[in-house]
Amino acid sequence: MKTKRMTYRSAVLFAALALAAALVAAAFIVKAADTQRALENAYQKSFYDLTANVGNIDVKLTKLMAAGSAETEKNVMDDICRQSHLAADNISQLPLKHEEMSETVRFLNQTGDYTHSLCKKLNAGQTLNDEDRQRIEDLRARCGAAGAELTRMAERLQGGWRISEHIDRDQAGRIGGGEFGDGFSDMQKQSVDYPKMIYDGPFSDALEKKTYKAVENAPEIPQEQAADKIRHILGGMGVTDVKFLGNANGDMNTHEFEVTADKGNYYVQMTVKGAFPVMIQSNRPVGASKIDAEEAIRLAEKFAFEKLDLRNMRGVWVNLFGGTACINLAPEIDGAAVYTELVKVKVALDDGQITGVEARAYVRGHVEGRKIPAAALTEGEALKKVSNKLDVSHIRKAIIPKDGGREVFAYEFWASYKDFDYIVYINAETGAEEDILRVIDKNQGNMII
Amino acid sequence: MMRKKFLYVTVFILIAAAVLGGMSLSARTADAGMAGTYNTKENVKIVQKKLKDLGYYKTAVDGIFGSGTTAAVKNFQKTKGLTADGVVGAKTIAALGVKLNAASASAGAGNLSNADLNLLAKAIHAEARGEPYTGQVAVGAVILNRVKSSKFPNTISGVIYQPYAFTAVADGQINLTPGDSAKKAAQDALNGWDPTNGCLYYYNPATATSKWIFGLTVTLKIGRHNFCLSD
Repeated sequence: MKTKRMTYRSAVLFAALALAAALVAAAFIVKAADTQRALENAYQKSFYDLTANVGNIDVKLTKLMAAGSAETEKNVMDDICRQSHLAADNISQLPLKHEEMSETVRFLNQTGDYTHSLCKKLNAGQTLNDEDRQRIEDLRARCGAAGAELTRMAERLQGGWRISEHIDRDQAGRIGGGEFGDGFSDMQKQSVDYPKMIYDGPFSDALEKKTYKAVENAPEIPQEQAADKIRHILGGMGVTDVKFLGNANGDMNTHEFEVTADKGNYYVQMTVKGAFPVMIQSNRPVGASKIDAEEAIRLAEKFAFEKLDLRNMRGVWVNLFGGTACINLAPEIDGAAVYTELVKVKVALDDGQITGVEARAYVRGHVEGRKIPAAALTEGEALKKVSNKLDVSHIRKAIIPKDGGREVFAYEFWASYKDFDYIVYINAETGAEEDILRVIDKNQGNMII
Repeated sequence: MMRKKFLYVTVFILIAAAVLGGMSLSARTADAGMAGTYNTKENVKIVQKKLKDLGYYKTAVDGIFGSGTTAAVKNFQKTKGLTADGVVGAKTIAALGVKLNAASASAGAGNLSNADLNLLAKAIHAEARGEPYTGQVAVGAVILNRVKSSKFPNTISGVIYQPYAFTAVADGQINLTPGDSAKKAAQDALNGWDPTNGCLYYYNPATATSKWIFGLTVTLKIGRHNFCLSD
């Protein structure tokens, strides 16, 4: 009697547990299916947007080839620039491996960037030349080929083909490749070649070749000598050991060192040619701040003068965070601030020690014996070019970097309007308004964007 | 008789638990915490103190919005007839009768750089928290180099969230709270420190599975990562 009841009870209990487990599993499955569907929809949206944008760019490029006036040209270029960047963003959201789409991303970014630079050209009163027109036709050809491929892939999606079902998982469980990825790889392989894009813009191929003016012709220095130089540079920071780690070989070869010091270690990179300290970095803990920004700037300038042998560096910007001041130093030549030769120095605000140096801009841009040219405009004439809404407080000359590695000689105006602080650059040779920067005043300090 | 009742009750409880469990899986809960620009330690302390005075919050006023604070906020919201989601937004602040300061000092700038800084710090923490400090700055620098490159997305978030670009993003470690080292490293990277001098790729040779990446020339090694300039 008892056994029968117990078996019955166990059976009911078992059934209840099984039902409970089934309900939980069902809930999981339903939620997973929802998520999968949402993801597939996101992929498909990005894919269709990409196809539409590439198609539009193709049409706009043909319009550009036929445009008769600068107004039409500028409007069309505006659209192409915007849609190219949108298309680059669309493709970046698809589940593709980097190598399956990087060339396409590059093409789209450069198309947008290049038409933007042509637009600037037109705005400056110039016209498109034969080389520009040929480039536009080359870009159009490439765009057309890409569009045809995407249309072919889109036809597949018509029949209920799901993107997320045609991606592979490799052994580490990372998705990528598969039929979907193959389609994009093919698109890159078959694509029409277009020439090196050398123009004035951030994605220009001209920027691929980097030069290091400051050390180009310097002799190669062996690491032992470089290590001695480090001991001199970081003298007074409690250095106990300098250990050579090896070399970094990129476009600029460097000796890499680990420096042991009382308060925390430094990582130091010295150029092989000329043993210039291109990067110094320490993560030492910083205590309560005892030094203010003014004093930190003075210490940074002193360090550049005495230890880095840079005779005319002046602080041009300071940014405070985490008990440290990061000071931008630029050479001051004939009263002009040379922003193309920046050195950044970090000063710990508890004891004034140097905790960082970043000098790549200097190594790349430094010109020995640089002369500041004569300005074609006087200060007064340049001031007239600044918007009369702005209340100008300070003027000085400057050499500023522009896209494509160019340098521009300009007047620098510090000004304000309502609650906003600005820095305006007027070209000292042409009077053109080169750039407007807005100063964001944060609790941490002053940073420019 | 008693035994049968006991059986029914047990079965009922099990089924109810299963259904509730299933429901909670599909229930949407917004992340509890301070809304948007009010997200500072000082503001959390003000809210905690007020909730303590009103009797909803029992533990330490420490500026950390944890489970205790979330529960107190939810109880308060329920009492006041507000949506009990644990998010302290405009309505809850008004109901509490406290004055909070928005986190950003600049008027309406949208504070892009702070959001980017935080995201970069999260990415560095996710990918390289076990690495030496220079290695962390290097990871941040690679992300920024990719933003500048024509072959990658053009924003920090675009680069970080590019599908399958970073394993720690794919597996959710990106959602961990970044430590101080990662935050400092992100700041350094944004200020221009780049120990890799322009590299676009890095990988851990002990764990990487992509054949493609092993084919790239290594520029330098820091900690467990090899850094490569280009493809």
